[in-house]
Amino acid sequence: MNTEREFRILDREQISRILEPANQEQFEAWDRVVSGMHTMLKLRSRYYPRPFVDEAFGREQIERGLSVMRGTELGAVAEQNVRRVHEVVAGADRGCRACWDAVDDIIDLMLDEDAAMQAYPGPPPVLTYTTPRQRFAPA
Amino acid sequence: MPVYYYGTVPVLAWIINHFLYGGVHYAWVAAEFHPAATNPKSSNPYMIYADLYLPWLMRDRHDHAVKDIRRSLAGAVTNVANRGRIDAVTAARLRRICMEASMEFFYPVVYRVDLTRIDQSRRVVAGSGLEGSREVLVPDLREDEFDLLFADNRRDESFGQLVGRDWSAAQPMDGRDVLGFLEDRSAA
Repeated sequence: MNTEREFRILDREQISRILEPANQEQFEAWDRVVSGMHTMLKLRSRYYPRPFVDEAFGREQIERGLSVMRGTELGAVAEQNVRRVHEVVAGADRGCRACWDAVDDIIDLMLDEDAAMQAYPGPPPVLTYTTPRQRFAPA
Repeated sequence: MPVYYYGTVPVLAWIINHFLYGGVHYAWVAAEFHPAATNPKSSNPYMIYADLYLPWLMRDRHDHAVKDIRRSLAGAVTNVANRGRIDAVTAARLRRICMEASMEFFYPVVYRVDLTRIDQSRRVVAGSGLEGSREVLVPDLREDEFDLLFADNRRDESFGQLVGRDWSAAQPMDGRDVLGFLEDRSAA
């Protein structure tokens, strides 16, 4: 399963656009979709602790965010990401091992995107840490 | 005979629940402190403790575990605001605090819950609990229903001021005081 590659995070140019003050609504919608996907994934994660909200909230956040973004360039990216997350979540619930891995791969990607957005306009932080998965991986 | 379950959260979660959400805590708890044989790392309180302790000790703002918890806490704020338990301005301030609060607020603390005191109707089985992991969610845990363990942090003055304080002898703090307190220590 190539879900990790199929799930797209924003590149630097897209981050620059979405952080413009005129795009505040799009930014909030994107953040809502990411937050909703994050919740759904964390309920299946093997490495990141459980969320502080339930799955219904996650699904509602995704729908609210997409309703604002549909028809835009970033809306298409968000919709593709949501499809991947639904696919991975459904697979994990069926016990698909590759999907369990993909759950944590996608959470890692989302956190990298968060770091890049918070660092903007500076460069993304040079990360010296290990992810929770690497930290506890068998030697 | 008590049946103890354990859950680990950053102290920021305890502070928000205690001061802003009326002392009602959203708590995932596992059947042991280190249920290595049954639970994945994501629902193993010992592993979560370790995941938080190191970045807290090193003040590592870029750690993935911390970033992940920040996003979870911010999502919870949105949820609480949607339910009308806090107003929009408080929610906006709290979301910002969750994303920017100083690393000192990621010191891990452990909830110990006697599950026999929690009615079955209040226990939710979800996530890996559906796959055999021994964990439950108690979304409305009250403060007389759990013990706060590992609350012996002597390094951070703020911890003593908000958590390890003898409230019987201190001036009480309300939600607004705490928001200001946390904002003063954000992005630090």
